[in-house]
Amino acid sequence: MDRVKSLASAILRDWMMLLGLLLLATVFFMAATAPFFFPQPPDTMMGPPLQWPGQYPGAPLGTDGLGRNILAGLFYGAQISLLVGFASVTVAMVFGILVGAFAGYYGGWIDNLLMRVTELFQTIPQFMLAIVVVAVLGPSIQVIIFSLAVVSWPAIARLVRGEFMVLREKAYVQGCIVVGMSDRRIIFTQILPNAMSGVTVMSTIMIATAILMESALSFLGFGDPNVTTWGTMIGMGKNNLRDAWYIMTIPGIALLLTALALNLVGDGLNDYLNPRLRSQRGQ
Amino acid sequence: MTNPLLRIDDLHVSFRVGKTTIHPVRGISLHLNRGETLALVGESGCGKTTLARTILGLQAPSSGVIEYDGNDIAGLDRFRLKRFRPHIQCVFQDPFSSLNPRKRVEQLIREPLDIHQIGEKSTRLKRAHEMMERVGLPTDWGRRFPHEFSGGQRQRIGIARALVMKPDLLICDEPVSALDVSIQAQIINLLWELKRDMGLSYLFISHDLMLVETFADRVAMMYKGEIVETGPARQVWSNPQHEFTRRMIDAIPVPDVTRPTPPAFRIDAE
Repeated sequence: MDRVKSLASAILRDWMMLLGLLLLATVFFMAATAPFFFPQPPDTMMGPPLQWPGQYPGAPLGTDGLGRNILAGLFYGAQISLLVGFASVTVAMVFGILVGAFAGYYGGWIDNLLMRVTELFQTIPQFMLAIVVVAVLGPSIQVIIFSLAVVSWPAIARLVRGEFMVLREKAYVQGCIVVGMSDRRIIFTQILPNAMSGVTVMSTIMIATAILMESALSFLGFGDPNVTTWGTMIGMGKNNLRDAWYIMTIPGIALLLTALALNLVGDGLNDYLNPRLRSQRGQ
Repeated sequence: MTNPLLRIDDLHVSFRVGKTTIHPVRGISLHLNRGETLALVGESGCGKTTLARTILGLQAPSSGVIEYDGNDIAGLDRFRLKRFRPHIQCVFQDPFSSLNPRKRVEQLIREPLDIHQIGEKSTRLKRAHEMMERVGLPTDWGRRFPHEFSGGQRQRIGIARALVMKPDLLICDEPVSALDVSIQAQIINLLWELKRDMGLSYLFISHDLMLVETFADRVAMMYKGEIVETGPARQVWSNPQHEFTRRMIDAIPVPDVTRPTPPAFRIDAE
């Protein structure tokens, strides 16, 4: 309970993080209430095409070239963005933490082997690799999540490896060996909880990156054709860029604010979890 | 008393650091009898800690014998070494890095019992609390985290964790050198009481000769990876055989009441 309280007070003192959390809460709210406010699927024609925001009462943010409600698209797109962002980073974290933990803890040839594999993935440009995976396996939400996980785990693995290399030399870890604890127990119950702060911060930022990459994939036409995402909306809008720029701009702003929110939360968490900054605040 | 609790014979330890091979322990032989306190004294970097790490199985020896109660434990794999773990425990020098910051104190003390499945699950917490009392910590502090304690209290936690499995041999690697002087005496007294009550044997690593003289039965002087002299503390002090021992003894500051206090330290009454 003390930890919850101190986190809550840290959030209230840090207005940037508070702003980030509020924005993020809004996106979650949109995702959760989409079917409630817009019972019709977002790709149905709801009114005359190319209505500017405020022009047509049924669609407060206007309609696109096919008469689809942009506000409904925003709400449903939030679902996909959050799903893809969180799911891909979760998969990447599980895999990255396992690889990084074993490499950092055991060192030697295990470390060498695992790190060479990691580097192999890191030398390929992330976005190119994601496109290739989607192109080979076919565009669906599951494949997109998988492809984004494939490109994002190496960064986590490297971070976790570094933390483990430092922490495994700590006296308390050595003490656990002397007490007779198994490697697995040391890795998961002693070192990992102390290595998680950096991973937590990194994962928030990575969710933002994943959401942006998903939009970029959708924009290029590699998205799941059965769902409306912010990226597809931007992609569709480019045909009407000169006469109806709002079609592209509105989902673009949604994307910008979501990525910004996640970065603000990540920075706030970094300040909170960094023990040195924390002691300066006298906690 | 014929069989020593710990016997080390011609132990060598070397390992590679980058491209050079260092050889911090060069042919050490020593023994420790049951119920004895053997102090290992030497300057920093002489291999004391490496020797301790090797006995604890944290560092593989390159050759030699480490016999615990008649069993050779040198270079055993971790699985087979686990059987001996409850018998040999250690207290580390730095009370700040030797406790996991995310575990509550009672969890920390209880952990060794869980690992070796000593006693019933329900009684383990009780034993951890008994151990806390034994080292002078109130049991209602058990729910706190290590950072809420002072250095001396943390060292008490470390001692409780080491002793909860009732080991025979406790290796203390400079257990008080990170503490301030008034606390040092408390911890030393505690270690002395625990030894008396629990029938422990100590391998006590230190560079503090004054402390060793009162605390240890025998001393082993270590210099550049070798034992240069052993014997009862008083005997070694009164008749040092090795140049290094003489230098160490000469370096002990002698309190002399007849010398005038330097002006900087004088406190004027009015």
